[in-house]
Amino acid sequence: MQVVSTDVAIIGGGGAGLRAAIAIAESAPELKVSLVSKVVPMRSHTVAAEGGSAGVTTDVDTLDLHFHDTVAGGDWLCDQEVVDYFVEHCTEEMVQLEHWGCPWSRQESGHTSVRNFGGMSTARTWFAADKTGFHMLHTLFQTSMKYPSISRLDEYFACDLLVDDGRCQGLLAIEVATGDFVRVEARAVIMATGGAGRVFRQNTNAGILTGDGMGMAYRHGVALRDMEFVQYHPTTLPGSGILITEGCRGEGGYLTNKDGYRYLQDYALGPVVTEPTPKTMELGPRDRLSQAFWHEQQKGRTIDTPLGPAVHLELMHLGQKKLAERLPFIMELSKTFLGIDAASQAIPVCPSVHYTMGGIAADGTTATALPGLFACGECSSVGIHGANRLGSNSLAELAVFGKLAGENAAAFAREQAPTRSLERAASESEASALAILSRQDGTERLASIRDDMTQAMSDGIGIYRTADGMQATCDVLDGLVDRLAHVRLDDSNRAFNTEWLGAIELGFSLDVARAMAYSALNRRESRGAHVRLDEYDGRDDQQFLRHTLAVFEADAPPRIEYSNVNITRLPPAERVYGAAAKTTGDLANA
Amino acid sequence: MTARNTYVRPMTGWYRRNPHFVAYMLRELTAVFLAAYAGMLLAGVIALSRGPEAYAAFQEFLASPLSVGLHVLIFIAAVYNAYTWFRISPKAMPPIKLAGKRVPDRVIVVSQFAGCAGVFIVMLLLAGGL
Amino acid sequence: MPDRREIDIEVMRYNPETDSEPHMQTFRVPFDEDTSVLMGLQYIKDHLDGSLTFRWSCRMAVCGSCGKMVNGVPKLSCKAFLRAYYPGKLRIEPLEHFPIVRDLAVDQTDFLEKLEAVKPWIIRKEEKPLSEGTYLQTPEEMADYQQFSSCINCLLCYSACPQYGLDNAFTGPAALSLLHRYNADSRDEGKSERMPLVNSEEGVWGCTLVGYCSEVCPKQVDPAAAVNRNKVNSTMDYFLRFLTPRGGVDS
Repeated sequence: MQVVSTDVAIIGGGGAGLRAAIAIAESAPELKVSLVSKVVPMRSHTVAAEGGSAGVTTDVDTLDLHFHDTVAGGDWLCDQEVVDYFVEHCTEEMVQLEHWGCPWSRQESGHTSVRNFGGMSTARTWFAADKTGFHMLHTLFQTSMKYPSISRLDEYFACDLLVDDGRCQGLLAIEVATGDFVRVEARAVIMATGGAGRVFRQNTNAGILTGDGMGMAYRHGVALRDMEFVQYHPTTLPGSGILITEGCRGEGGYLTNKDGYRYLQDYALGPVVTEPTPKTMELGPRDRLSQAFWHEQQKGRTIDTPLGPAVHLELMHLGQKKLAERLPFIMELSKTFLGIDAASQAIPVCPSVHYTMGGIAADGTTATALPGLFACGECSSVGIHGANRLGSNSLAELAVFGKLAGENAAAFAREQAPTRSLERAASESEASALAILSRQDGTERLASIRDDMTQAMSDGIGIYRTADGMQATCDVLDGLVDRLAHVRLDDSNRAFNTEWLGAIELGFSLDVARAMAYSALNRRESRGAHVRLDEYDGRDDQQFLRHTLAVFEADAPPRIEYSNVNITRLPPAERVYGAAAKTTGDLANA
Repeated sequence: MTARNTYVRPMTGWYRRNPHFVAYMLRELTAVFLAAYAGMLLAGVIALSRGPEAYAAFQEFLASPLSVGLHVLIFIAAVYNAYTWFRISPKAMPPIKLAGKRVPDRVIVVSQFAGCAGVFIVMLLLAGGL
Repeated sequence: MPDRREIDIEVMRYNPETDSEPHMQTFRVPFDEDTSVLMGLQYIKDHLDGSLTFRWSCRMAVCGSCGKMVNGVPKLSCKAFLRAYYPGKLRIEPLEHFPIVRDLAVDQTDFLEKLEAVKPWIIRKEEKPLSEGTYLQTPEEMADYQQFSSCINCLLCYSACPQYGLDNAFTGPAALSLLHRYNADSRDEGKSERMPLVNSEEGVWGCTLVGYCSEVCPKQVDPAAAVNRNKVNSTMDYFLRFLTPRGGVDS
């Protein structure tokens, strides 16, 4: 087995992983950084983020407002000290990205622009047209190339963490091209593997988002926190789930039902406004908008498309010029995947799974309960999103906490003695990965297990949930774990065997899916993106103003525990949008 | 990535594989005709330097059917060559801006053809006037 | 599905562990109006042969993973649809001009080295402190480089470039576009560091303006323009070196 010896290993080469790598290279240039990613970094899913990234800049905006929006948006399940740190550092990171060349959209004066986004009190979303994530990722990737201390292991599939002496000391990876195992020994490891939307059937996520990092940490005893909070993005293409950015609504797009009626006014988001107005109508938060879609569907007011029910996203009134300048990618996507010109026709959209609010439990410094393991970006739960993330907080998060993870992991690595021998742990992991490949007696087809998982998740862990539905999903998932043990692969080669890697991924996905389903089943209340139709249809701060912790149990469903939410200066209150939000916004200003 | 035993496909016959490549090779081939024309002009100059008889012989050659045929071929090749280069010239020049806005590629291409036609007409008029 | 039809997809297979050269294999795949070429390949992998190997990720034409030769033309397989080829059949091969690692997956290391060689980052003589805020850049200044910053590194342009196929020392369309992207950025001061590569045989002069790279680019980056504008820059640089004491376009 090949051995790579490094100081800090980062798993995942998306925005968070790259930001962490650069932070280490800048703060501790003497430390070696190994960036391990199963795809070449610029393929990471940060690339598909469209709308923008939050950062307070305008005269009418304040850090307090961003704090308030985030905490209220998260239905008070946010750790407020961490949110404070977050909002204080967003703008600095956006400026840093600008210095590195990110082509933020500009005003005539040459200053960067901001746009409106859902659930935010005022325009504070920095954007690069509607390809913000793409530009941030490529800026970070290209900038990372200038640091000699960063070495990349591109297309190396991390399959396990190496833990010894109670400390995370590296990882085991498979070189995709050859199928060879590589032991990466490190003094600290940063997990930055992104979300797990692929455990659902219809989602906005790339194929790589199978929850590997969450699964790896989870199996080594780190809890997955708040996994029941899965964000359904309200505007995606039916069938494929391709993302149609919230920026469309930030720029003034309307959502209408089959009668051409702006139905959001019926769901406490009015009054009807013609210009984009913060927290009102189409600029409500994502959970509320997706829930409104569900109700419209129940009332039979959605539009039937060959790929499922939809509502209309109307951009026609914005005009060709603005669309070309602000939403060129949306124009391209509509043309390619629907064959329509969004300047003259409405885009059919529906909700799809988009984001995992929860993740690897980490504190506000990105440290996890496993010494030596740090987590940042979507795979982590540092505590800023609560029960519902606001659009444009996740790109900001990967920059703010990516940097912090890098700096803290570097500081940790400096204090550690050289790693001990990890040979035994690595050999055991290698053997279990190889066992999947050499199994001869299997009967199950990989795709069928995967499809059953995604179907069960979409059935039971939807926008609205019931105890029966969630229990059924849990039962299916439990059965799938056994079926995965009997998978039979068509491909027995080592070189570039994506079927084999897919089977390992599916193992992680199933663990993550179970953490989600059992966490959801046990939260007997409704909050943010977790809404129940049964008797637990209201928020219950008495019992459940607490984080869910799913703890891995071998050969059994996860153990569900709870931990306190850090509340400092904004006590729980009713979450209101539309006309009612005006007064709350004024309060936050005071 | 250190892939083992990768396979590199041969490039033999690459120029036949795609209509774009065929067009490209044709464009490159037209350069041969342009070179032939340059050679012809050079021969004329040399003939002129050798005295009136040599030049008369050269003129006689120019009037021969072989030469006329060759010139027609060269003319077609030259027009095609000009056409291909005019078409891609916006790519080869720094962006031209008018009142802060980039002049569209199409406008550049069309104005080149227009300019060329203009020069051609002026030449014809001049030749007619002489 | 009422309009469910079937189409033959012929795929190039190559297994580095057992094969000495590639061969073709045909699969029959059901499709409808919305089935992309990528979805066709996924159908094969899920239902017919799990060993078929290809890269993909975002499914929405922005990650740049899924480029393939589709009937001889470099395309993003998520952005091409089976309906467009019916009732004919498809022939899918790995991107041209790159070594095949397995089936439809090619070795992209060479591109990554070339990308790094163009120094694709902002070079400043003096960094502005973050506390002083952003650099000013007007929309007009942005327009000078914006299209070149849209490159998704999908490598279709390399597959469209016979010069790269004939001699892969050539830096190639995408990397040179990104070089130009930084040179044309008003915040950058690194042009003189990039000019030696521009001027070299492996730089812009390796290009003979076939122009097909710009035709196949799925993001209208127009790499041929980036490369050929730099032939002008390179020529200027050459002459200016004689005329100015410090030489080069940057001085």
